[in-house]
Amino acid sequence: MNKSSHRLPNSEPESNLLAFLPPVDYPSESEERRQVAGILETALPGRPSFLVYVTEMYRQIGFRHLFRDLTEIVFVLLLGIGVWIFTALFAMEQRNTELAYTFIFTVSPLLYLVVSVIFFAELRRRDTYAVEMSCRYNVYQLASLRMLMFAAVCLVLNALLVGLISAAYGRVDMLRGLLLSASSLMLFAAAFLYGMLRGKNAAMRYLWVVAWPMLNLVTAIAQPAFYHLLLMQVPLYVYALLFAAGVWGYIRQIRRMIAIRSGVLF
Amino acid sequence: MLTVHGVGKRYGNARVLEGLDLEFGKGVYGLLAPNGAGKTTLLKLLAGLLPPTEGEILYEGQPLAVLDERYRLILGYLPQRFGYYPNDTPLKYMQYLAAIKGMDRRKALSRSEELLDLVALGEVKHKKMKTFSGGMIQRVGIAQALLNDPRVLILDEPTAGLDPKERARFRSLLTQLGRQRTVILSTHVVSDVESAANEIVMLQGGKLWVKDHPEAICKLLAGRVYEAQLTDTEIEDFRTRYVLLGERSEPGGWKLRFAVEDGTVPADSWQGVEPGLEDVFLYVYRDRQPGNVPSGTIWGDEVRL
Ligand SMILES: Nc1ncnc2c1ncn2[C@@H]1O[C@H](COP(=O)(O)OP(=O)(O)OP(=O)(O)O)[C@@H](O)[C@H]1O
Ligand SMILES: [Mg+2]
Repeated sequence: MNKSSHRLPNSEPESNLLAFLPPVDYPSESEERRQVAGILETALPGRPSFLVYVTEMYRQIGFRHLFRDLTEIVFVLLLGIGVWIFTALFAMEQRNTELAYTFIFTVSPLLYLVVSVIFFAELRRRDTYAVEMSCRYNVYQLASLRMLMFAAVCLVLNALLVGLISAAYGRVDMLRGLLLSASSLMLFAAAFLYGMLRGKNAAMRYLWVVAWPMLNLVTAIAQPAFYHLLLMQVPLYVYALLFAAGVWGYIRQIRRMIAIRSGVLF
Repeated sequence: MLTVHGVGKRYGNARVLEGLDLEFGKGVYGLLAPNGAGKTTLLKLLAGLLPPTEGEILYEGQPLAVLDERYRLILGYLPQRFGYYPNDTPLKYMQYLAAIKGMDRRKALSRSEELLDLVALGEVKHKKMKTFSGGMIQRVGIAQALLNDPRVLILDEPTAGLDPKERARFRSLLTQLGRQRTVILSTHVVSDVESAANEIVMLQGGKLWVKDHPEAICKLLAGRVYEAQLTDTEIEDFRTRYVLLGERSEPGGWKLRFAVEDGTVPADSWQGVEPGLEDVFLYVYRDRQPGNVPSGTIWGDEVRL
């Protein structure tokens, strides 16, 4: 179609502006009723399973649009990794294996934390909130997909970093390190999302962000024996269980976020 | 068909809308009311972006809250403040919105380009939006609302910032859209909807005041709008006695347009004129003296001024 034909010359305001809008034929009133009913009833047959729904959403939106702020995210991640490595070097300097585990356990949620906090703080401040809320996949559905992927990416990055530590510092057991890191990340992330969705005000929403390092610090100081036990003596399958519990809790929160109806938090 | 059933909306303790019963079929509906009357609130309710505090809104018989994502599939919405990413080009922004509207990617591109051409932004579709004027941004807003060929199109002050030429273009677009769709727009620029809207909805004190054809609404003031040539001293007197609808300077004094109470006997020098929608707007939403009973009331089905 000739592009310029869409442009409306000033002199003929009644030219057919919408000639190019073919997708919906309007054959007759009853036919249209049927079509609308079709859209309303069968476009989304029931509630598809969570995995199907999320995959389909990702397929339709695509990476480029889902992570439109990719540069910022990568920048923040790099910054986080920098801090991670820097403190890791410091921890290893102490030649203290327990400290290394403590470090892994405490700092593993860091990457996840920074990307998520920045993302949430931005979310409702953005001008585009109103437009995005009116789209099929609204802000919260997009957010849940992003949070899912943040968690996955952070798991992988953490694993790489733990691998790095264990390679550089022989006394850290790779498998224990990985499980420690993964379970701490997922437990933290589940609690973080819970706070975000349930918190009545900003203080309550971000409480967990402060509480997590405090909790670790206090336990390490007040109950060093217990903390030691937790990090170094507990059989590995316990971490695996904790990790599974974290993943389960996290998915639960993600599903709650997906179900947020437009308007509820408007 | 969009049906509003006994809908009310409160923000905390502030009651903004109450007891609204409305039906919107195919056609263009102009929501006309002064600042703060609750136009944006009503449109957000109709778009399913806000839950009503009372009553419910149905589309084709099903509550919006139940339809949820399925309603958004057939919805186009332009908020009063249309937000955008300053570093995006309009084309990129349109494609992004098309993606989260769940549109097919290839279709999204051609569709975005066509719509940008439609709002006369085809030439600048690769320019960053931060370089755009307010009216250009607004036109991107209008274009994005049409992306998914919505059956329900809700536009909150779509003509804000548009120049007269773009307004004219927009009006004719409206007429065409209204043939097959439900188009609901708010405005306080009366001329935007006077000719293009099939029905005008006016709110008064959070309630529906009238919903009717523009001509029918104009008739409410029939025989009560006059113009007269006045001197400066006469004007002050007129101001207190009648409702001023307009004044313009003319050689030898002022030409005043005003409305009178029902039953007032006109002076010989007065010239009766056809009331327009703008006259009705100014009359209904005039500043009232305290204690003065609002004269726009619904008695039964009959609307009186
Ligand atoms: N989120 C909110 N919280 C509390 N009060 C609100 C909120 N949004 C709107 N209001 C109040 O509701 C009333 C109606 O607002 P609304 O924005 O719907 O008016 P409007 O008719 O769109 O006005 P305008 O012509 O200026 O756009 C106003 O008194 C406003 O102060
Ligand atoms: Mg408004």
